[in-house]
Amino acid sequence: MRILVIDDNEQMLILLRQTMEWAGFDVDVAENGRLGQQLFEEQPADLIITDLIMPEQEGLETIRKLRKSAPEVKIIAISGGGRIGPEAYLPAAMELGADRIFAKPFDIKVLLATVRELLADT
Amino acid sequence: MDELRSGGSETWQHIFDALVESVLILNKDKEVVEANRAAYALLPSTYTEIIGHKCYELFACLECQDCPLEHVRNKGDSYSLDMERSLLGKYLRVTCAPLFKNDVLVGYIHSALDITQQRNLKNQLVQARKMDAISTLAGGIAHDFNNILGVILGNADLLQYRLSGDVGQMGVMAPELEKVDIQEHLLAIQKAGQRAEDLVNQILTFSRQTSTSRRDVIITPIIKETVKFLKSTVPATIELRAEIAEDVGYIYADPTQIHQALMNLCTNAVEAIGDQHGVIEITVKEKKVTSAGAETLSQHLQNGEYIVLSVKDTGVGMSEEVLERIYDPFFTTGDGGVDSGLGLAVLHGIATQHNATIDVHSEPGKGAEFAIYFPKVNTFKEKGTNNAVATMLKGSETLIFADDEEELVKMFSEMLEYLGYTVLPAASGQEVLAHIKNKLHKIDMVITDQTMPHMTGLELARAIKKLQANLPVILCSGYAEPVTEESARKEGINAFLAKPIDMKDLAVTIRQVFLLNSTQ
Repeated sequence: MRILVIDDNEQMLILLRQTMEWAGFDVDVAENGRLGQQLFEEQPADLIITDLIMPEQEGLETIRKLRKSAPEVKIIAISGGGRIGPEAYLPAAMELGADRIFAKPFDIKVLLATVRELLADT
Repeated sequence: MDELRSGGSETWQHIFDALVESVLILNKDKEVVEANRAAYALLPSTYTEIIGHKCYELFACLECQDCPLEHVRNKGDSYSLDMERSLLGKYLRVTCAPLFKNDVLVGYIHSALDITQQRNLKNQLVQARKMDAISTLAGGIAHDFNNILGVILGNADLLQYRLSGDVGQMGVMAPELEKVDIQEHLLAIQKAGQRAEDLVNQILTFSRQTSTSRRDVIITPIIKETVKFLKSTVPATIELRAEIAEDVGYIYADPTQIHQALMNLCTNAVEAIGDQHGVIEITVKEKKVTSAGAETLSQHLQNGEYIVLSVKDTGVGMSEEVLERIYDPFFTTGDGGVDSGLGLAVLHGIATQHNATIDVHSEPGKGAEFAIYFPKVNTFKEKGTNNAVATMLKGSETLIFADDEEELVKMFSEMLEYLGYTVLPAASGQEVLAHIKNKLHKIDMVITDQTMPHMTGLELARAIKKLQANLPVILCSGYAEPVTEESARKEGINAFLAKPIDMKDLAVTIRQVFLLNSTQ
């Protein structure tokens, strides 16, 4: 199973990559939505974990585009909140088609369990 | 008072009463001789009579401290002022004009426009903007801190899970843990902690709570070093041009903050240009601001001499509405045009701490220019070098002062000579080595810059130590240079000074090095 992680925070990318690799997944990483989308087109993943507030192409835009081109892919949105209030972004991600949402800081164990649960359905 | 009346023409009275503004005609003693209908409407109905009263009795009870009539009397022309009149519970825009008869001042025309509603709306807008800015700031800080916490807690969690050597909730056996893995997790936590520390410092700078270390400095070396650093960091699609005047004077400033201000301005310019090809121009120059030239500036500046640091870009530019909000922390236009984070808010904080003014010009599609006006201070020499030098530690040895910036060599050589030293100037490492090898002088110490063409300060120090192991070397290094005090000492450097060099620090350091060298 392949997971694509998109986040502009380098340390967060390292953390998620390490965790998902230990759990036995193949992992690709991208530092913004535009690169993430490009990577997905070249090498489709089964699940995408994406941050929401990023330069170049924000997560909401990325989710909207991905949902259009790949309706079956599982998406988890993660966010540390933002300029118009933390509560505004994650529900918007759900509305655009994210399967699950996680507010940062999150429990990495719960995130991993959620990844497994979503991939078990596929 | 008949000469003040217009002859009682009915037409004149109609016009007078048709005016929306309250208009009073006053005599020289500020007594009302005529009032239009709007004046009666503006003033409380409890006033049974207006005519004959002094204007301030009607508007303020007591004589006004900022009486616009005084200005009219002294200058002979009209004068306008916004005044709060708590007696009436109103804000008024009062305009006073002189009334002449045969070139002799015989009275005044006093008009008042009620701007209370306008003023209240403006206050409400300012308040709403403040609240908006605070909520944007809180959101921005929360976002950054949540990311930092995510990294700290995530790494701590992983470390615990790996230390336990258990399958646990992760549902998979963790790879074996080695010392280097523990170090990696700790390093990630440490980096996140440092990012949090940086963030706190930025917030404090923005809110002007940090203690700064300000002194008289010439900013050109700081700017040159920062430009050197920026040249290696800005994307290749962006051309960085610098025009730095060589002979600008001193400002009273914290060098670290000047460095930060330029970095923030350039980061902003890089973001404004984005993926496009573009140019960033950095200039430093002296400018004399006079009343005549001040109208081209977006901000009011007192007349005087300034050192102006400006950064001009060919980026997307900003509208007037955006320009009004660029210093709000974490302000974003949401369309990728402006996303200032704390950068411009910090810049504004720095400018305020330096009594500097930021002048911004921009239009959508036409780039932007930020110019920081730092008030110039009297130079070291103008303040009386002898007095300043009198308190510094002196010596009589022979020193080589090496730097590829001719202006700096000249200035420091001159100051060191005031302290009693014989100074041999050098523009490169090769020149220093030539001085030592030709043995025309007995050299007692070398003071050198780190960044020089062909040979760095550290390389020079190594070469010197080979020729004359006990010759003391002081290394001066800027912000963007990868030299730490520790690495300098490893190379046998006797002392390390961060640029820009403070003359007092240099004087003390020279004596300390000689003292330590003589006791070794």
